[in-house]
Amino acid sequence: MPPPPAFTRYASQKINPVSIGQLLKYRRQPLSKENILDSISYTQAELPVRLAKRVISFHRLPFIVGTNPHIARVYNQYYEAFDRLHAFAPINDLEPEWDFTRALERQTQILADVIPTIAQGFLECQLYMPREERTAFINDLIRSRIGLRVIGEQHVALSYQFREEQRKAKLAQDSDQSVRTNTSPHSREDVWVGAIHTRLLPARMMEQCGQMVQSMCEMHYGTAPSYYVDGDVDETISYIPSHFEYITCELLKNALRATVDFSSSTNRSSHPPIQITITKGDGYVGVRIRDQGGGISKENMRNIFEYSWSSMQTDSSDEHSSAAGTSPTGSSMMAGMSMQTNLALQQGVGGPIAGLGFGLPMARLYAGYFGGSLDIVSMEGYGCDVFLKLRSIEGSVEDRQI
Amino acid sequence: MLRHAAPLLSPKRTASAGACAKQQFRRASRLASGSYEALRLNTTAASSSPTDSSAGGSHMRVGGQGGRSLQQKFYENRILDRYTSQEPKKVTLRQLVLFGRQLTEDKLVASANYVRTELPVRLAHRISDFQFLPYIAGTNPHLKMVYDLYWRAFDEFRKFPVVKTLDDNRRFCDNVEKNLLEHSQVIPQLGMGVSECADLVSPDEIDRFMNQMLISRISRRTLAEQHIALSRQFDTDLRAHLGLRPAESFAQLGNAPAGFSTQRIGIVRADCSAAQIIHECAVRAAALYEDAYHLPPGSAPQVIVEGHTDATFMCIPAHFSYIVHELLRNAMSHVMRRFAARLDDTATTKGAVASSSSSGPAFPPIRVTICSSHADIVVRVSDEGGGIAPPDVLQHIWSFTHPLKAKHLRNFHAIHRMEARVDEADAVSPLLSFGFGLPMSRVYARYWGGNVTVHSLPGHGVDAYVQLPRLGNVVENISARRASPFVASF
Repeated sequence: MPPPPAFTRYASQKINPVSIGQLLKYRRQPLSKENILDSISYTQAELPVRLAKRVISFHRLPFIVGTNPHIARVYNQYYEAFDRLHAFAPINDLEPEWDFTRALERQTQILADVIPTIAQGFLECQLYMPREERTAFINDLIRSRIGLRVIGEQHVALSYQFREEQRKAKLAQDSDQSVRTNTSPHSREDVWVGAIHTRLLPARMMEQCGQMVQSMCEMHYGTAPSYYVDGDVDETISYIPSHFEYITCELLKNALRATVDFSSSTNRSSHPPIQITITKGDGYVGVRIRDQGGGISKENMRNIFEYSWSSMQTDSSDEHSSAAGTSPTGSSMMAGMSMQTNLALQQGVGGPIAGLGFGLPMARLYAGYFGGSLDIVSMEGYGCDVFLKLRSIEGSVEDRQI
Repeated sequence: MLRHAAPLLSPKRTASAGACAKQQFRRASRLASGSYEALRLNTTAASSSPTDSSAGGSHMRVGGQGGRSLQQKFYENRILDRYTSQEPKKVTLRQLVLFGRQLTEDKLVASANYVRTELPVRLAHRISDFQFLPYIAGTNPHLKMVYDLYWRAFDEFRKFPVVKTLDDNRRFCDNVEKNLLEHSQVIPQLGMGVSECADLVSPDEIDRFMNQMLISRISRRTLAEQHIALSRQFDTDLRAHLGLRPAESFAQLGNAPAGFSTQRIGIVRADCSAAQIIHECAVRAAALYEDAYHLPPGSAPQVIVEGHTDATFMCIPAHFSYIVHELLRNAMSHVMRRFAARLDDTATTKGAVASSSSSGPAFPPIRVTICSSHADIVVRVSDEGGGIAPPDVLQHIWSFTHPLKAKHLRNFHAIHRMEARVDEADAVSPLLSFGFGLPMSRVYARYWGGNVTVHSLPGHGVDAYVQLPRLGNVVENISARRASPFVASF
């Protein structure tokens, strides 16, 4: 059955790269109705095109791969999302905007576990598709998914922020107080621009993620190394916290796990701590994570940024995978962490999709999305040094396209 | 303390030939942007028979009548082709050690002949590289000087008679040593040459050329120096005293004689202690900087060595020293510059007051971590010197010719010799930078299959990593001429 004409029309349009200027357009001002309608018109223009292109990318998969139930499921999810969202007429009022926002939120939730599902599907299709093609497909999928979520989450956040501000203003009005702009130094309006936090403290992010990963490690292994954070601990950047959090947890997870494993295999009496150093460059924040987890062998270094397809058991008993690392057990959702991070950390022992070597390649894609980088140096027999560079969203050129 | 090395060519000869060649080069570079016609070679100039084998020597003049001798060489190139068609016979450190441990008279003679035949092959490949440089670069007087030097050496070695006796070997070694000395001007000349060609040839091509030149140079010097060292170790008097026959080696004795070690073979050490070399380099670098900045001893940044401090590996200590020294120099210089204010404090409170002060070291220490695994050793040099800034400089630290380095490369005019050895550091002020240290260190590392990488943390410091194989079982990383791009071969 040929795709409906609307679909083909969208799919053939060009993608406009997300502009940082667009993301930061409404900072430092209480949001107005015009802002929200402006945001929705941008979002409404961009999302269906990108969703359509994702759907098309599935059409190009080999037939046998497309019939795999996991792959088919994700395909249908994307198709549904496109179907639901493109059906909205052009929005010029707050009521339909709210409907769209709620629909968008729902779709975002539905599409939350796309990556693990696709991974499962590709795992089952290893024989039907060469590795390079699978890698290319996943890279494209992840990159475009980051873009979709950035645009989508940004609007949803703005929409909620606007309504929250409206609610507060109305409350103040109702209680016969004059409407005053909130003058608290770190009011939400000041600091957040949709999903972007303009005064994110990397040091605090490290602490929070460190604690969380440490307790997961303790839960699984019965022991965990300590960590300390030094360097420019007071520096802040503008970034999307969930991205930063995901990358950080992934890296710390690897560092802690490697340290515990190496301690046990070398009969070390205590775990050397993980050293985290924060540095601030011009528009960048650098994070160096040093561990003494024994390093990664030369052979494995070639594969750490590849998506690895380990064999999986059907039951959720202990199963370790490639050098890219699995997470300590964590099937319960960790409060306060984004859905993304939770899912990522579930990838591992006891989680729904065990033994996936996805963490590092994905972390690198996230790091690179706003112009940052992720590099790993391995000192075999000793440990690893990880160099993460994140570019501050605010600090970058206004019309930078991503 | 700057000691001037004696220039090796008589100044007058260089000057006149140089002036003529310089004129030629300048004219040619002006024309480079203009008509192609003007650069066309005059093809009727070749006057001697191309098959005349003695033609090799007579036209190898420094500078000389530029156009004519170049055209001469075009036909003489057939001699070169016989050598470029051969692949270099590469060795590993382990082979050098095993060979040297069982040194007999026959083996020493065989080594001499290996060097005698191998050097011309390796030289030929590099001469060929010169020939494939764009014409305009080839006419640069500095590059041309190196080219002519290489041709002369190539010719000498290929014509050297077969070595049959120890006496022959002695003559051969003298010849090789003279050659090594004569060629110590190659690096400064190459440096000056490439800096002058920076706008005429793409930086990538120049870097590729330089990397190949330098790695091959190290390889030839390594073979030569190893053979000379073995020849010296082959003590005929001691052998006579111990009653050894020509076909017997020291290794066959029950106890090795005094001064003979199975771990120290020529310039190779089978059990080199990384920590010891690092300590030596640290002491040397500290002394250099304290001297240059007129500081009391002990004021340079401290170097702390951690990790697998008892790690040993098979290497040529001089090579490893060079790399470590360069990295420590960079670290120290960055740290001292960053905390320059503390420098003034130290300088004014000289002597006893500073050294007995309990306020601790003026500078944050440089931490060197040794990491050893079965097959590799990694040394991390970590400093808090503020990092490499601005960020775009980072991309070019490995380049030999980037415009940002042009001012450094001109410093080459101030010196005549550079062998890129650690002991040279005493002769040249550490404040004189050539921009060569890092790329050169990487060449030394890559020669035996290792690498040097640098990560900069802007606003904080630099982590530099030297990775080298431990077991000496990696083959020399040299290439034949016009091999696939340098970058891809790693």
